[in-house]
Amino acid sequence: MTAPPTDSPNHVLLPDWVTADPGGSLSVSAGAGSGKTTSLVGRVAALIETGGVPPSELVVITFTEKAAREVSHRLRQRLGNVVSLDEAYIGTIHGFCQSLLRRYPIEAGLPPRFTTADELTSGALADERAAQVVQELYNKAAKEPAIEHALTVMASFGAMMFLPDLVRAIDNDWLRFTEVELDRPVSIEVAHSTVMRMLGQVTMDPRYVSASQAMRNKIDTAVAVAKQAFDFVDSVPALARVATKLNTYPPTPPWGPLRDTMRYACFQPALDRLMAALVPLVVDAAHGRITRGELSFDDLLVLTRRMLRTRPDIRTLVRARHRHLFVDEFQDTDQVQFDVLTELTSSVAPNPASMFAVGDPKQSIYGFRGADVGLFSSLLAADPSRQELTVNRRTSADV
Amino acid sequence: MNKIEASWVRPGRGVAVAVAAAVSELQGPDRLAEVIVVVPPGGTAATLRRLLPQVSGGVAGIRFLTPIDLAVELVDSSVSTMRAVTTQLQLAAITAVLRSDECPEALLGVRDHPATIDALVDMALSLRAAHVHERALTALAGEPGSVRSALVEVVRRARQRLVELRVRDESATLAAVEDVDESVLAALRVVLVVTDTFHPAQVGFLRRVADQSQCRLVSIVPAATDSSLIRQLGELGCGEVPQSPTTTAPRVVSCPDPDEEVRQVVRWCAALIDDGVPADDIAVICAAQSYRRPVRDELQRAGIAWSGGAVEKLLGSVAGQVLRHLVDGIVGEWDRPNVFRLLSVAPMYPIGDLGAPRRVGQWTTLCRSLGLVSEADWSAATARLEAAQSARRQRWGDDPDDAPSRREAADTQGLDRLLKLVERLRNQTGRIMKAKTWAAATKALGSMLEDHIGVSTWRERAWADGPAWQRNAADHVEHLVAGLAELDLDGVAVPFTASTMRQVVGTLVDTPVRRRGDAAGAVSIADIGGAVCIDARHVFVVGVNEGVLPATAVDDLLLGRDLPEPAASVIEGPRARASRAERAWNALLASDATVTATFARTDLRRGGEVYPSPLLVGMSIERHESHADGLINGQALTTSERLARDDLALSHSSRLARRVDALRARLNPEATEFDGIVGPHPSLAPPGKVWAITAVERQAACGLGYFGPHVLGLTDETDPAAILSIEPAQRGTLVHAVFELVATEWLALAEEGRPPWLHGDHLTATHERAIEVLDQLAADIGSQHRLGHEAAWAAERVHILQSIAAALDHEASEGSRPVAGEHSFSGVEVGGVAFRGKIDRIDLMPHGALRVTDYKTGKVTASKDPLSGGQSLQLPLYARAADHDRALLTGSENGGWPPATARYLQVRDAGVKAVEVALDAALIGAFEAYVAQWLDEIAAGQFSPQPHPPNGRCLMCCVDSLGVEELAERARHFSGRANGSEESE
Repeated sequence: MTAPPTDSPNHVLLPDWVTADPGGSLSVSAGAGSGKTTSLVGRVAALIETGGVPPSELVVITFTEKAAREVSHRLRQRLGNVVSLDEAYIGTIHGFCQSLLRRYPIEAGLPPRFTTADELTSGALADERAAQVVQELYNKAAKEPAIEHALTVMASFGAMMFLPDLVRAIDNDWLRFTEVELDRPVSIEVAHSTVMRMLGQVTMDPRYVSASQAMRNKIDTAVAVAKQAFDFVDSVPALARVATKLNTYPPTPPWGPLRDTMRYACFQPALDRLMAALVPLVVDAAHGRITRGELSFDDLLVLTRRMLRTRPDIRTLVRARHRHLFVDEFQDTDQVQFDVLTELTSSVAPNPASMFAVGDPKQSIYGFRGADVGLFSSLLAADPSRQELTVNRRTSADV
Repeated sequence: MNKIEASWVRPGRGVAVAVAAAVSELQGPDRLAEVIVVVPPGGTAATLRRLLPQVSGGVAGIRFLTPIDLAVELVDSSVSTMRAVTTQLQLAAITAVLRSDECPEALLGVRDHPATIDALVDMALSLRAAHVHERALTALAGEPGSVRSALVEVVRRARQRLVELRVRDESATLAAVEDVDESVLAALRVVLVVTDTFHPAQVGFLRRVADQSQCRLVSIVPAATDSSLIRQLGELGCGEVPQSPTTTAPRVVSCPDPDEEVRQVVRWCAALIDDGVPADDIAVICAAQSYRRPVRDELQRAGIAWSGGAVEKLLGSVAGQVLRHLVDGIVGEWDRPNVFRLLSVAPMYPIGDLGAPRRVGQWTTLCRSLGLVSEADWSAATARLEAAQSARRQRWGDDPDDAPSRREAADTQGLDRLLKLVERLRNQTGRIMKAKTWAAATKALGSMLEDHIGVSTWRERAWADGPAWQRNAADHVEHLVAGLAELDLDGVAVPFTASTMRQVVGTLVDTPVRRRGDAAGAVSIADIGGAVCIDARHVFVVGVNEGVLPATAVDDLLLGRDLPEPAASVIEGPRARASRAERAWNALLASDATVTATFARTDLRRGGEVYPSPLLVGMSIERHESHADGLINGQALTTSERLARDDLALSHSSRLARRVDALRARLNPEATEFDGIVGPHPSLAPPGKVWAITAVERQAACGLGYFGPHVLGLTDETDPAAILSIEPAQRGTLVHAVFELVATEWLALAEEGRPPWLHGDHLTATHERAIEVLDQLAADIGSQHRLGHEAAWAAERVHILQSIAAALDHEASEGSRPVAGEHSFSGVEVGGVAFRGKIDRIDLMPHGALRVTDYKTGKVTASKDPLSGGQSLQLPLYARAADHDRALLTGSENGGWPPATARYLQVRDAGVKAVEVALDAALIGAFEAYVAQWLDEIAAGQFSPQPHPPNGRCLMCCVDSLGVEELAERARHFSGRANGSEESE
C-alpha cells in the first residue's frame, strides 16, 4: 500500500496519494518521523490551492496547542500571504468544540455566554468537586443503608481513598451517564446469593481440583467462613481473604483468574451501588456549572457531542460550514472526541464532511487522558482506501 | 458639510503640543476661556492632563470630556435630569423580562441560569447606544425566531421597562442631542482629539461638533493599514489623510516564561531609574490583562511607584471579596471555613466593643486544636477549650486551681471574641433571611459590610498607605449594595430571596473598577488599548505573543466578529477591539519612545511552548536565557536580591538576612546549609544522647525531613475541616492502641487466674473488648473531627474491626502468648550508641524464643532488602531490645534461648498478613552499618534533601520558598556527585 514518494512543494518527498484527492476522506497510518504533519500540511495546501476550497471550510485538529501553531506556521510558509487562514480552524478539538458551543450556546442548553477553565484550572477544580461529591455521598450514606453497606465494602478493600478518583472518572464523561441506563444495582440479598452460589461451585472448579492439598485446605477454611457469614457485608472480607491467600500464588491460571473472579464478586455489587449514588451528584454539579456558565475542559466535548446528536438542524449547519476535517495524531483520540468527529463525518446523515485522519498506532501518549488507540485501528480497518507512510524522515539511513 | 482641517501629529507628546496650540488659538487673549477637550477612551486624557501643563504652562479653563458626557451637558434638562441607568437597574429589568411571559420561547430553557442574566446585562451594555437606530438592532437580531433575535428582544423589552421608569441611557442621550440647536454647539470651544476610534454611535454627534467654527481637530496620523480609523476620520469630515509616519523597530527580547519576562522588564525599569531616568518617563504596556497583576506586584516588590489606568474586577478588591464571602456565609452557613475566609480578608475595622484587629492566625490554630469545624461546633467551643486546658494541666501536673497562665488567658479571651463575632454574623444573617424586600435586606447587608470594610472616612485614614483603587473599589461596593434596593422598583421588581441576592451580587462584583494613578513620579502601567497616546520615553510592551497581541478574535453569539450593516455603525464589535490593540502597537512604533517588546517562550498555563506575535516577524530577537541570568546579570529587584548579588552585609533584620543568605545559596555552585549542609554542632548529637530509631530512619529517607521535626521541632497537622475520611496515620494509631490495650489488660491479670491467651472464651471476649476499646478511642478522636465524615467512619470502622478480628484469629492459631504490649525500652546499644523505643508487641513462642511484632496498617511486602536501603531499621533493633530485656519480660535469664525473631503484621483489607524478617548475620551487619552512617551524617550536620516522590512533599520541602523543583535539582546534583565519587573509589 505504500506509494513511492514524490517531491512536494515543501521540498519534502510526499507520496502522490497525499494530494491526489485532497477533498476526499482518507485514513493514514504513519510511523514515527514518517512525515505525518508534512502530509497533513501538504494535503490542506492542495485543497486550498488546487481544490479552490475556501479556508473557512477547513478544520485542522491537533492534539496540542503547540502542534496547532506548528501546522499554522507551516501552512503560512506554504501558502504565503495570498491566502488568509484566519477563517480556518486550526487548533485542538477542545478549542473547536468551544467555538461550536459559542456559536450555538442556547441550542446546546447553555447560557448565551460562558467561560471555560483551561486544562490546568479544570484539573484543580475537578479535584475540589470530587471532594465535595464524596462529602455529599457520605451525607447520603447516613440516610441510606444500601450506600452505607457499599461504602463498607469499599473500606474492606482499603478503597475509600479511591472514591475521588471514581468521581473524576464519571465527571470526565458525565453526560454519558445520563444518556445510558446504568446497570441497576443489585440488592445486597441478590449479591449475597450470587456469592454463595459461586462459593458452592468453588470445589468443582478444575483449578481447585488441581491445587495442592495445603492450598485446598486454605480455600476450604476461607469458603466455610464466608458461607457462615451472617450477611453479604460480613461475607465480603472472608472472600477477600480467600483472594488474598491466592495472592501468594502465581497470577497465572488457575490462581489469578480464580482470585479475580472472587474479588469481582465481592466488589461489583458495591461498586454498582456507589455508581448509582454518585452519578446524580456528579450530574447535578455539571448542571450547576452549566447554569453558572462556567464549563470545565471536558464539558466542552460532552456538550458538543450532545448538541450534534440531539440537534440535527445544528449538525447540518456545522456540516455545511466545516466541509473538511483534518485530524493529526488520531491515535490520541478518546471515545468522546471520536464521537464528535463521527457526528460530522458519518454518512448516516446527509452531507458528511470529509476527514483526513493521520496517526501512529504505536505512538499513543495520552492513555492517561483516556486516549484509545483501538479507535484509530478500527477507523483504519474500516477504510478500504487507507494508506501508510513508512519513510522515516527524522533519522538517516545509517541510524 | 465642510471639510475639516485637522492637525496631524505623531502619537505621544506631539498630541499634547498640538492640543495646547489648538486650545491657545481658541482661547485667544482670554487665557481662562473654557475649552472642552473631547477624547476617546483609553489613556489619552491621562496623558494630556500630565503633559499640557508642561507644554503650555497650564490647564486653566480646560475640561476633559468624553463625547457622551458632553452630550449629557447639552441635552434638554428633561433628559439630563432623568435617573441614570445603573447595572442594578439593568439587571433588574432583564431579570423581570426573563421571568415574565415576555420571555422569548428560544430562551425558556436557559432563562433561570445566572449566566444567562450576566450575558444579557453585558449585551445590554454593548447595545447601550444602539437603540436610537432601530434598523441596526433589527439587522443585529437577524432572522425572526432565531436565538440572537430572542436575545435582542429581551434587551429591547428590558430597556422599554426602564424608559417607562424614566431611566436615561446612552441611547436616550444621543437621541436627545440630535435636537440640540446648532447655535448651542457653535458657542462651544472644542478640541476633538482623535488618537483612537470613538464609539461608532457617537460619530454623528461628533461630526456636528467638528463642523463648528470653534472646533479644532487634532489627530494622530493613522497607519496605512488602519482602515477603521481612516474611515472614521472620513466620517468626521477630514479630507486626505497624510502618509503614515515612519516607524522604528523595537528591541525584541525572548524570555523563558511570563514570570521572568515581567521580572526582567522590571529590572530594566529599575536600571533606568538608577541611571536617573524619571519614573514618569517609563511605561509598561500589557498586551493582555493577565499581565497587569504580575507587573504591578513586581514593581511593588522592587519598591518602584506605579500608576495607571489598569482595570480590576470588583471581585478582586478587598471589598469585593468581603461582599462575596458575606453572601456565601448568608446562603450557606457560618462554619469555620466560611467565617475565617471572611475574617481574614479585612480584619482591621473595630466592631463595637470587640475592637480590632481580628487575629485570624491565632484563632485558626486554636480552632484546629479544638476540632471546631462545623457551625454546630461553636456551641461546644468553650467547653472544649476548658477540657483541653484541664487536660493540659493534668498532663503537666499543675494545680487545677492555679490562676490561668498567660497562654490560657489569651486562648480564652481570643475564643470569646471569636464566638461573639460569629454570633453577630448569625444575627445579621437572621435579619437578612427574614427580609421580605430588597430594601430591608440591603440595610442588613450594608451593616455587615461595614463591620468588615468600615466606613469611608475610616478607610481614608486606615487604608491611606494602601493602593487608592482599593478605597475606590470599597466605595463602589458600598454603592452597589445600597443600589440593590432598586430591585424593589415596580415594573422591574425582582422578588427577594437570599439565593437571588447571591446571584445578583455575583453579577455586580464582576464589573470593572477603574484604578487611578496613585502617585506622581511613577511608572505607568497601561493596557495595550490604552497605549495609543501614552507619553513615555521608555516603553516596555510585555506579552507580545501569538494569540495575545493581537488577541485572537472569538466567535460570539451576541456580537460576532463581523457585524452586519447597519449594526456595525452603532455597535462596537470584537474586531474594533482587536484593531485598537494593533493601532496602539503601530502608534508606539511611530512615537519617539524607545520601545522594548518582550515575549515568553513557554507558558505552562497555556500548554507549554508559546510563540512570538506575528507583529514581530522579521525583527531580530535577543534571548534572555533563564531566571538565574536575570538575578546574576540583571538589576536586583528587591532589597534582598541587591544585598545577595552585591555581597553586602546586613545586620538590622535577621529575617531579611536569612532571605539574602538563601538567595546567595541558590547561586552557589557548592552545597550550602540551604541544601541541608548545616555543619557539625554539639547539639545535633550530644554525647550520651539516647536515640529513637524512627528518627534515624527519617534521616535516611530525607535529611531535611529529619532536620525540620527533630532539630527545629516543627510539626505539621492536617486541618480537621479538610478530613473526609480517617487519615492513614490516625488509623494506625487506633489499631496500635487496640492491640496494646487488649494485651496489657490480659497481662495485668494475675498469672494464675489468667485465661489462656486467645483460647475459647477469651478469644470471644477479646473480640468484644476490641470493639469497645476502638469505640472509646474513636470517640475522643471524633470530637476533634479527625475521623472524617460519620458515614465514612462507619464504613472504616467495620473494616478496621474486621482487620483486627482477623489478626486476633490469626494470632489464636499461632500458639504464642504476649509478654508485653507497647514495651518501652531504653539504653539498648548499636555500635556504642544507646537507643530507646517502643515495641508494639513481644510474644513468647512455644520454642522459647521471643518474637517482636510491628503492626502495620499500610501495605507490607516481602522484599529482598528488608532494611529498605537503611530506611527500615526498627525490627533488628527491637529484636535486640527484646533479648536485652528478656529477664524483665519473662522472668528467665537470657542464656540458652534462641535469639528473638521479628516480623511485620499487616492489619488491613479486613485481613492479616505476616512478613517475617530473617535477622541473620549479614542483615545485622548491614543494620549496624546503616545506623552508623546516618548517625555520622546527623552529627556532621548533613541534612541533604532527597528528591521526594510525587505528591509526597512534607513541610520541609522548599525551605526557602525559592522553588521546590530547583531545590530537588540541586539535591540530585549534589547526591549524584557523592555517588559518583563513591563509585570511582
